[in-house]
Amino acid sequence: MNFTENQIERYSRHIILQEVGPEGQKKINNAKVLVAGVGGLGSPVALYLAAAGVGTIGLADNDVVDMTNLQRQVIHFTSDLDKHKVESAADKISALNPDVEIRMHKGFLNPENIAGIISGYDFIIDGTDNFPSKFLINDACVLNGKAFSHGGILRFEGQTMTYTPGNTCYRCVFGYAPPKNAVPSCSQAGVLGSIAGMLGTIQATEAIKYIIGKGRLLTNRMLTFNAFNMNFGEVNLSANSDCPVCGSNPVITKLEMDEQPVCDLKQ
Amino acid sequence: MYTIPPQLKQEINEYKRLIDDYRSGRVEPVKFKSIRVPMGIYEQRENDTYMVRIRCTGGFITPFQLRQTARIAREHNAGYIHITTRQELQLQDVALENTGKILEQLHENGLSSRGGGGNTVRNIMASVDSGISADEPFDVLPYAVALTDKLTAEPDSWLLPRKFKISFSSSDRDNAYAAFNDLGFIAKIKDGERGFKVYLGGSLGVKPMTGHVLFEFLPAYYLFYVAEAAKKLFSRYGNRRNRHRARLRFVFYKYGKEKVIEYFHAIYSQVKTASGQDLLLRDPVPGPAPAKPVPVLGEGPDYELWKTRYVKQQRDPALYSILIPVSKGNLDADRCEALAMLLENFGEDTIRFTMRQNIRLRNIPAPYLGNIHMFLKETGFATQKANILNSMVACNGADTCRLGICQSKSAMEKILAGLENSGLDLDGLKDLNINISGCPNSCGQQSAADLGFYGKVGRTDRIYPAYAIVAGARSGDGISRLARHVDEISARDLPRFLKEFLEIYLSRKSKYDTFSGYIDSEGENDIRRICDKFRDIPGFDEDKNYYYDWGADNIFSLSGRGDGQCSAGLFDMIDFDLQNIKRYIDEFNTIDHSLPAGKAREEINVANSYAGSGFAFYGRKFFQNAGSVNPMQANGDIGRWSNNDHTSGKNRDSGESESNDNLNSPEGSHDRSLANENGKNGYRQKELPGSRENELLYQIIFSASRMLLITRGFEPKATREVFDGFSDKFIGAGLADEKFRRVVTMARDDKAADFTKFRDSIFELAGVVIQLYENMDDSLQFNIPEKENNENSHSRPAMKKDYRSVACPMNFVKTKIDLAAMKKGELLEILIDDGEPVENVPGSVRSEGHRIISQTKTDNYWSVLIEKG
Repeated sequence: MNFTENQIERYSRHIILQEVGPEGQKKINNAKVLVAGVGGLGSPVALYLAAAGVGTIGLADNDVVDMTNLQRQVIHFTSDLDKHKVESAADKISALNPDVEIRMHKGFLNPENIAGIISGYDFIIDGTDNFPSKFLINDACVLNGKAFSHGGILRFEGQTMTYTPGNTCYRCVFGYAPPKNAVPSCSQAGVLGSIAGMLGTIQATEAIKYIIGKGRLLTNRMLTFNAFNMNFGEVNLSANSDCPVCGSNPVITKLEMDEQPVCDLKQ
Repeated sequence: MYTIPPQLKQEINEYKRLIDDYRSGRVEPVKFKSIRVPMGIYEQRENDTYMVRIRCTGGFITPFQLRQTARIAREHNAGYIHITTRQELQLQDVALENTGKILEQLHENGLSSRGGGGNTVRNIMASVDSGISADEPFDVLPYAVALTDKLTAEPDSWLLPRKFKISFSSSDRDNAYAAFNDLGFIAKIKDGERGFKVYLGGSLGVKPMTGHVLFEFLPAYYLFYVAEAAKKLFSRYGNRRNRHRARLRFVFYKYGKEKVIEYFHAIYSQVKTASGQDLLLRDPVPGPAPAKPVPVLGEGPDYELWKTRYVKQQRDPALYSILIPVSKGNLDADRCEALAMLLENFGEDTIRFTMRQNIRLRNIPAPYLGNIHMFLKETGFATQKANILNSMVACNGADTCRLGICQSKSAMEKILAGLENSGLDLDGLKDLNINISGCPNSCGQQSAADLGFYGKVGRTDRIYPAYAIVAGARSGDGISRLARHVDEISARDLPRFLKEFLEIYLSRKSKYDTFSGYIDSEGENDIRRICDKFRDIPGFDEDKNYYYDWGADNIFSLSGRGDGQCSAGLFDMIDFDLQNIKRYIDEFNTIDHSLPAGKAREEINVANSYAGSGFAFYGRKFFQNAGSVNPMQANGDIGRWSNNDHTSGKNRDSGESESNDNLNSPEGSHDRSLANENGKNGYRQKELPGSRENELLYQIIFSASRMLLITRGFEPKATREVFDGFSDKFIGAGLADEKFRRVVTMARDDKAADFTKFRDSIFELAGVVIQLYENMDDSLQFNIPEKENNENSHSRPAMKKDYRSVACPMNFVKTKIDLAAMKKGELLEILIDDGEPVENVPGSVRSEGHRIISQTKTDNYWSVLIEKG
């Protein structure tokens, strides 16, 4: 086990945990996680993964930091306004933990580039804010055998599930993207900033459990919460044999973007 | 395909203005050249004709672009559209005044010539079968294109110390020569992730080198960063003062592999922390499915033979890939246009130019093979010939190149004409790669060929055109190797040699899996044996043919070749003495072979007897090299070799160049007259071994003394000055030990003195001088290396750790880390402090399933023995 003195200190509270230990910490240090969307969810995920010492963190986003982000996207500071989110996040991560290798993917994930990008990672965090991207990430992970964590937040509520190959996928549950504006987005309905932290840290935890191969993942179940009443719930799921992408007769065999507009935040 | 950088338009405008300024004398020729060449425009050998080199990343061009290129070529009366061995196109024989307009027209069609020449990032190559071959991890062309986009947009890509070549191979076959490029990538997949094995510093050329492995696996994400860092490394450390020693491999020669890799990583980590640089991958545009022509049914024996020779099924069995042989890589505009128009029927992604200067079509659906065949036949492509008659590569050679020594193109024609009527089983030679260069530069890629030739100057009483023979190159991940020098042959006898050789090879072929295997086993000897037959070159009066090159009207001469380069001349002079020292030492041992066995053994071990001294190292190096670098000596054919020694020695080691100035003075130049006086006479005399030995020792002192004098600004005019100069500039200056003064003075005073008694000292002197040279920097200063002490006493880690004064919980953390590295049942002893540590650590260890065997207190600390559970 080759840890530097600094690493031994930095990760000592992980190493002490019997379930993590030096072996688990090594796995974390060697792991590669893609954070798709460095916003409300991606911020806490990226920070906790960096702190945990995840060896390689990929950051994918195409936005710059704007004033409305700062209420919940805690990796970005006021001084980062107008900076590319990927660069802003990269700065914080390297300041927090210089061990982390950062890969910056500036641009939208699209059907052409996503397979190439995710091929470089062990686990993908869905921190995107729109349905087409969520379905694209799901499809790309299913077709390429990658594990990912789905996360979504709105008003006071959050939901998250973890996909690993062979288990229930996001499309098993939701089928196709809802029609345009049938669902309110964060901007229309508002969101309590702190619940981004509540959900993002759960996603980060799932990623680390997946990496060390310990604990029980949120597979075949979805965790939901209502922070207003502070109720947590769990819905059991099972893989859908009619699923368009992972069912027995899949109709989606090639990546395409579901036709659906992104969050109308700026309109 | 690739993205034209936005600034190119303006650069073309500036270039056009510059042509006018040059013509009107407002701009000096040298200044104009420095702009023109990096624009991809070269002057040809015939004065004032030019060629324009067009970037085709990985040999890709769309049929539409090819059609437009043909039209541009016709409009400007280009003699040929030429396919290069770097998968580019060249418009040849155009007037300077037209080049500006040509660049504009290319630009309109999404083509650029930027970086076609000069000290730039050159055309990026890719496996010609990438995307269609069955054994590749993934298609590398999108990566080559994306990297082209990035690098060609950066101004510093045009300001390098020398050219910078990048290549991508899509499989371990390494058919794009990743290991022979400055920066090479071989596609790999690791744990499902796309990436590359990365080679750095490879190159063909005069002192060829196989690249060093920089990364066993580099995730594709980092591709750009690595390319950028390699470019910056080259830019920073490359030798800008001597273009003959400027390529990246010379940085390796100078600093050594480990240092260079260390420099690379320092730059790489800086580059990586700069802002994100994702490569935007774009697949070759599929475009709308074009309307196909009416299928033509192919039939008849012609068609069937053509199919077996030139047509290959792709990974997708419905599609075919077809090799179109292009004689000498030259296409005329009309055929080129007609071909392009035919291919437009089959989509955008149908053309690749190959590194063997042919065209490889792809994505042709089976029903249309007949159409292609009919077209090729009607337009006069050599579809009925065996592959070998179409696959041979020759650089332009002295026909058009100002640097060429021999007219390689004409030699190839002569060879091909001979082979065609030879009655040999040419289809049995299908996969044999034969390459010919007109000079030791690598344009003909002879060092990567199965069998290669490069032009050189032969000498009897006068000079004649000749070729060095190299053989046995291999490419493939981990097995890449350059062709090695085997022998040489006059240009006149080259076709005869090759025919005889191929005949023998065909008779032995079935015994070997690969040509390189044959070369290693019997081939090298076969080559030498045939060469022996042609070794006697008739004098000029007996047969003048030997003194005319193929395709030449005039007697072979080197006048008017290339431009002079002072610094290169300096290195050539040094190399001349270096080669001499090597030869003398080598011969010294050859002589010893002829002595009685006991004596011989003692002498051969001369080099080893210096084990531990600097010289032993260099001495061994010489002996290893001797066989391959200079095999004629191994044959003991010294008399002949000495006739050639000036030119051959210099050609081999002058460093890569596109202006081989040393060839301007084939006589070995006036500077070297001392060598004639001192060196050759000795060789000509058949003397007794003993006196020859003495003579050699004298020559070693002479060459060692003279070798580096030039670096001190001292050019001896007489033999005596050589020895005095060395005593003064080297021994006197403390660069060489005082003890050498004795032999140097002896040599000065009496050439016939008995040097054998001082043999050890003389060999050591040679070693010291060579070591000085190896450690010489670009400003000609000698860095005397300190003796390295490599004695690392690695004590094996004991399973006993002292964690006294390590507080809780870090003592436990460290213990856990130790245990994690151990096997079940192994024992670990730790020392921990009294108090909190001993109250906590053993319990925590036990709770994790390990066994505490004992716990004993000594003074104020505890020793705890743990068995891993």
